[in-house]
Amino acid sequence: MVIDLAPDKTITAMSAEYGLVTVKPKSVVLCMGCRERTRGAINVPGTRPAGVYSAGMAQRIINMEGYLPGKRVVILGSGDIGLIMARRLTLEGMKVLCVVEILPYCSGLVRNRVQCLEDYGIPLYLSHTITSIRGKKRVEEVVISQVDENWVAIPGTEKVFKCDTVLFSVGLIPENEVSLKAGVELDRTNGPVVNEYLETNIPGIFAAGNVLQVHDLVDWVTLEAERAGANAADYALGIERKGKLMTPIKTIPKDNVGYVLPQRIEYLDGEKVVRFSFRPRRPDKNVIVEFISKDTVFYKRKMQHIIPSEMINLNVKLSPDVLGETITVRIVSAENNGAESKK
Amino acid sequence: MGIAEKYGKKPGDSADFICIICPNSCRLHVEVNAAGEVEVSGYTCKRGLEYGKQEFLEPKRTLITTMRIENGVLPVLPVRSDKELPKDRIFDAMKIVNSTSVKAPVKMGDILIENILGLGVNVIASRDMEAIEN
Repeated sequence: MVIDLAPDKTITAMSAEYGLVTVKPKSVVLCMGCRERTRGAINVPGTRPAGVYSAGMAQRIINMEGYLPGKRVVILGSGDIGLIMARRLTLEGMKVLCVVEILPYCSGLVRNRVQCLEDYGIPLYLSHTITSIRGKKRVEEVVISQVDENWVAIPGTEKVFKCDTVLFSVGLIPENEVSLKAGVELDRTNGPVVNEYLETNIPGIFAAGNVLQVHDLVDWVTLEAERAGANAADYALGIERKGKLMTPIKTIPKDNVGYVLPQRIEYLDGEKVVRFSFRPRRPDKNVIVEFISKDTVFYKRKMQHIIPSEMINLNVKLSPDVLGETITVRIVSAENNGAESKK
Repeated sequence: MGIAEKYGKKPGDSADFICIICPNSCRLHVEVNAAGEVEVSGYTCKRGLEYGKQEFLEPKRTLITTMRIENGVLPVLPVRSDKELPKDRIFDAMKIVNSTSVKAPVKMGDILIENILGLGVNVIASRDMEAIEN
């Protein structure tokens, strides 16, 4: 287990076989993934009985240790992990009473909502949250309430569900402890700032997977990891990159774009294709994604349905003649001939 | 006998659902016309058309679960059906998988239950699993 990463890439780790080890690599790929947000982190009131798990923990219990977490369960969060667990627990004979989601829309992929909830008649309560967990030694019941647009519980909307298990599927947080020790610069996304090589601000330290940005499809994780690995190998081999820019080009997410990766383009030696990843802030239909530099749209792409839980990955050709100091990525409505998408 | 009739659907029967084949999530409308044929609308690709027909006549799902494994590095092994099976037989199939156990080592793709419920579908290992060394 790695306990330290220094700015010069020296790794200190603990090994069952070798004890304390020091490794001095030429390049490093950060792929530590995420931790799950816990009940404590979101302060759900009530008592603290046994039977409260994060969705990932429940997955481990069933799929790796072969135990059922309980008999009757309420799931908080309609993200894909919560939805998939609703199906998994139902198939193994647990009663899933409901899935509770604080947003007014389902966070997970539509196909997961269909295959995991609708297929089994599991109710989904949107704009609701768990306001109390009750039980002495083991969970006995939960109270859910409807919330207003400020996520404040509306009195009089309480519903009580008798259950012995509660699953929390309320978000993933990139594992940054070791990255921060090395001096890796983080973005407000909680992942590292990277260039088009998936390289952080420290040359030779790369990042991929959930530690860089929380993914929904493992297919994209694999592609990202392959790129980071290949780039890290090239770096270790001392392969030169051409066209280093005096000032990196910054990418700027605008309006309905929550974030964009990479945050910087640092090399441009003629035309090249760069893979951009981003998510919309809100669901929308019939939109156009636009890449803008020097006040000109140099790339656009129509999309029928966009939702925050589905990452968008685009391979965009960049040429020196169209690029200025920044690239703005925004989403506009296709219907209004390019007017700003609803805010 | 028309295909719709074979599955117990009559002219005028209809259903609305969301296609799950790709992120577009097209809203499909399927109905049986006067001639007893299945008509799908709302799709934007051939796969959606196929999904619409299948989902209306006989919804199918892939079974994804775990099976007990003896002497493996973990006590349970992830398994899946190699083809989709009718949605209404999933729980029957679960009973069979839950009463079956396999011995390690196992290779990804190994057939663990052949022709489950006589449906022409096999249950296969989703990963390799080594035996624990004694």
